[in-house]
Formats: sequence, C-alpha cells, structure tokens
Amino acid sequence: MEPAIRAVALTKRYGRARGVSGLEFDVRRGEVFGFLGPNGAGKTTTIRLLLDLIRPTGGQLEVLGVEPRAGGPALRRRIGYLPGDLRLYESLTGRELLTYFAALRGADDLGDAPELVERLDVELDRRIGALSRGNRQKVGLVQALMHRPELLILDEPSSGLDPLVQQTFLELMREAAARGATVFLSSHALPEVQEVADRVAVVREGELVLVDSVEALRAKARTRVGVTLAEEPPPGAFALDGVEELRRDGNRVELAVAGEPDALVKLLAAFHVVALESREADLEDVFLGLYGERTTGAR
Amino acid sequence: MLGSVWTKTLRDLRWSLLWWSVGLAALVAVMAATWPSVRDNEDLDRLVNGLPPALRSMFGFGGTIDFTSATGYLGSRVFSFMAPLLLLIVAIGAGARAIAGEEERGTLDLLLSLPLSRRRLVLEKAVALGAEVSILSAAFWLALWIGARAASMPVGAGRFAGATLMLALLALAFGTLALALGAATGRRTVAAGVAAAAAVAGYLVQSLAPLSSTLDAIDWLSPFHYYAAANPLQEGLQARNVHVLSALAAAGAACATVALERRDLSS
Repeated sequence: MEPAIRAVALTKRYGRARGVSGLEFDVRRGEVFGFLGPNGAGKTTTIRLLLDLIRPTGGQLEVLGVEPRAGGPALRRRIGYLPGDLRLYESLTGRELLTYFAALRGADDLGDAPELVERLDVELDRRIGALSRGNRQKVGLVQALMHRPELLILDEPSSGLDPLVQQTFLELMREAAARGATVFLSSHALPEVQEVADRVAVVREGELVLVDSVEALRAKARTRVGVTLAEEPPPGAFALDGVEELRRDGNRVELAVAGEPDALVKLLAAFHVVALESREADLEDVFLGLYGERTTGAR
Repeated sequence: MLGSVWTKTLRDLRWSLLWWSVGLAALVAVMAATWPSVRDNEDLDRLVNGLPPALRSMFGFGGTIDFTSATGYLGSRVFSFMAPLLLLIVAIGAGARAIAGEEERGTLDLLLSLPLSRRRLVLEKAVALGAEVSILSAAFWLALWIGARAASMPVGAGRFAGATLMLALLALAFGTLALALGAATGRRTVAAGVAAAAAVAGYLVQSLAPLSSTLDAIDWLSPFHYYAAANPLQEGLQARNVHVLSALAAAGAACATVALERRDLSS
C-alpha cells in the first residue's frame, strides 16, 4: 500500500524568504507522525500544501496516493483538518457549525460528533464567538474527527487545551491510529507529541532536519539531573565526559547526562547531597541538541 | 439553511436583507406619497423642462424627464439614481464579501479543506448573490406595485417587473464584478472599492454622454447604458439590454471561478 503522504523534493517558495524547500518524507499508513519545528519553520506551509490550499513550486507530493490538486474534493472527503489558526463562523453555535460541515461533506448525520462532544465536553449550544479559545479548539477537533477520516491533519492541535482535555485528545489520536487512520500532527513542542507519535520529522527554516522514530530519538536523549548540595560546588566540578552543566543557582546545579550516569554518581559521592532528582530522558533535549539553541524550549 | 454554502450565505444575511427591503419600500413609499403634488404642479414641470438638455439628461431615465406621467416620474426619481444606488451597494458588498470576506476572516481554509471544489464554492456564492438581489428586487417590486395602486399611478405590475428586472441585472453585473475581484485578490476592500469605482464611472459616462462626444463614443461600454437607454416602465423590456447585462453577470461569475482556481489562498 502506498504511504499516506509522500513528499519528494517538495518545495514552496513565496516571494520572500518563507516557505519550504526540498522536503523528503513518507508518512506510513496507520502511524502517528509528529511534524515538529519552531514557529515559522514551515509546518503550516507544508500542511496547506497537503490540502491544496496552496500549490508547490517544485517537487512532488502525494496524499493517500494522489496529488492533492488532482485528488480534489474526493481526496478531501477522506481527510480531517484542524487549522493552526482556527477561525470558525462566530455567529453559529457549535451544533450549527457541525451540522453545516456534515452537510458539506455529504453526510446524513453528525457521525461520531455526539460521542466526541461528550468526551471533550464541548459547549454546543453557545455562539462560537462567545466561546473561549480552548472551547473553540474543541469544536475544531470535533469537526476534524467526526467523519472518521482516513487521514487526520492537525496543525498545533493542543493549543488552548487544558491538560485534562489534552489527555483526552491524546487518547483520541491513539484510537484513530488503532482503527487504521493516519495522523499527521504538527507542533512546536515535542512533549505534546512524543507520547503518541511513532515517528517525528523536524523542520527548521523550511528544511527537514531529521526524520526518525521516537524510540531512536529517545535513545539519543540525555537524562536531566538536578542536584542540591550542602555547599556551593566549585566551578567545573562536574566536567565529565557526557555530562553538561546546564544551569547553576547557588547550591543547585542542573545537568544533562548522556549514556550511563555512573561516573556522575561516583563523583557526587564526594559531596554532601541534600536533594537529587532525575527526569526521564526528554526529547526536548535532543531537540535542543539539534538546534543548538533554545528555540523549541522557549514555551 | 445550513445544508449548503449558498443557503448558509443567505442565512448570514437574513437581517441585512430584511432591513434593506424595508429601506427600499420606504423609498417607494416616499416617492408615491409625493407624486400627487408633483403631478399637479405645473411650475415644476415648466422648471424641469426649462433646464438645459445636458442637465436634464443627468436626471432622466430613458433620456427624458417627464414629471407629468407616473412612468416618467418614477423613472427619474426612483429608477435613474436612488434604486440603482441602493441595490448596487448591497450587491457589491455581498459580492466582495463572498470569497474575500471568508478569506480575510480566516474561514476559507477550513471551508476548502472540506470536499468542496473551488469552482463549486464560487458558483454557490454566485447563486447566493443572485438570491439576495432577487429577494430585494421582489420586495422592491411589491412596494412599487402597492405604492402605485395607493397613489393611483396607471402603471401595471408587468411594467414594474420589467424595470425591476433591469435593476436586478445591473446590480448583478457589478456584484459579480466584485465577486471576481474578491476571488482574484482575496481582499474585500479592494474588491468593493474597485467595483464601486467602476459603477460610479459607468454611471457618469452614461449620464454625461449627451454632453460630450468623447463620452458618447464610449457610452456603449457602460453597463448603465443598457440599463438606462430605454425606460422599461414606458417602453417595456428590450431584449438586447437584458442580454448584455445578463452576459456581464455571467462573465463576472466565470472570471471568479477561474481566478480562485488558479491561486494560492492567503493564510
């Protein structure tokens, strides 16, 4: 079976510097694919190419086996889309909006909407204009999911969602993948997708920096260790191979450790350790390593 | 009302359409109420006909001003300026909003991510525009018919229907121009501004043509020429005029589909 999405040397140039160039990636059927990068990296441009809202200036693109423009409405019937900058008809209620979209999709009923509304706790009977950002985002999610699309394209879906809803959202993504749907999930922050994504691609300034499985990335990730000592340690006290001092605040030091922490533990034994905590390898750190700067961490 | 793009578009405008209908009816009511005093005022008739021909042409409909007949009175007081002004405002506004309004508000991306082709979208918006103009025209026609009966004007419903049809076609010609400009640029103010400027220019060329041989030579380019060349209240519909304005409206809608099909949507 052909991949859900195939991009070959995909390029979109605008008059200015923005756009994407030479993107090469496949998204396999049934996987959750994280599409990551800082704001302005070209994520939304790529997504709008997938939906034929804009047309490439070079390269090839296939979505569910067809070029988006040739695929037309028949292709888009199989896709669910949540825009990054979600704008809905503010004078309609959520229910009216879902009714409208169902009709434009040629559906006889609201499909999965009632269940989704229940699980996400969506306010359906208020004007969308009167809803908070998070509640609008939920309406946007319902319209993207209600017709059980084969391919979900979600641009920054978590923005505005509170943590509880965020969990429900991740469940919904897992369920979609479990029934065979492909999920293309863009985000500027890795923690939002690392729980559900099988693979991630990272874009930066319009170019693909990496495509890899989350597992492989995690293997490369470093453990964060925070130590609080009884006395301020001398400068350079933790200068070991594979250990980087990230931050120091008086007696407290934050370190990133690659590979085994053994050498660090032995070194710490010489100090009076007041507190010690270590955080599971976070892909954000891999990210930081890739970017060489705190572009993605700034949230 | 939420079953298709065109009905949803009409639904969005339901209150606006109601108030414009009321406005058009009020215009007719005022004109009908003042008609008896104008008709019996011989001084006014003499004054008007003492004006230089050039000035008379600006206010006339079908090239004449005749306040002594109901058809002449309605032609110059209602059909030559006020009614087209009001209907053009509505049609140009609706045409400019149709695509460019959705694009500027940011709803176009999501709408076109649905199984809806761009051509289909433009055609539905054009149908909505046609329906809006038709609703206003019907309200206007009804007001004319009632007003004429109340003021004992000897003009039949059929003649009013013919004149109102010409008015609707004129509005649609400029409304679809605004639709096409909005589809091409994605900018509502550009679409409405250019279409309105075209309408003003068209009106001036047509009404000032008798004063200038240059303007007279290009008068055939103005849609107003086909609208105002003959007073349908007096002379009935003329096939050529109906065809030209209908063709303009259809051409505007066709250009809009081509324009939207070809470009990137702005985000």
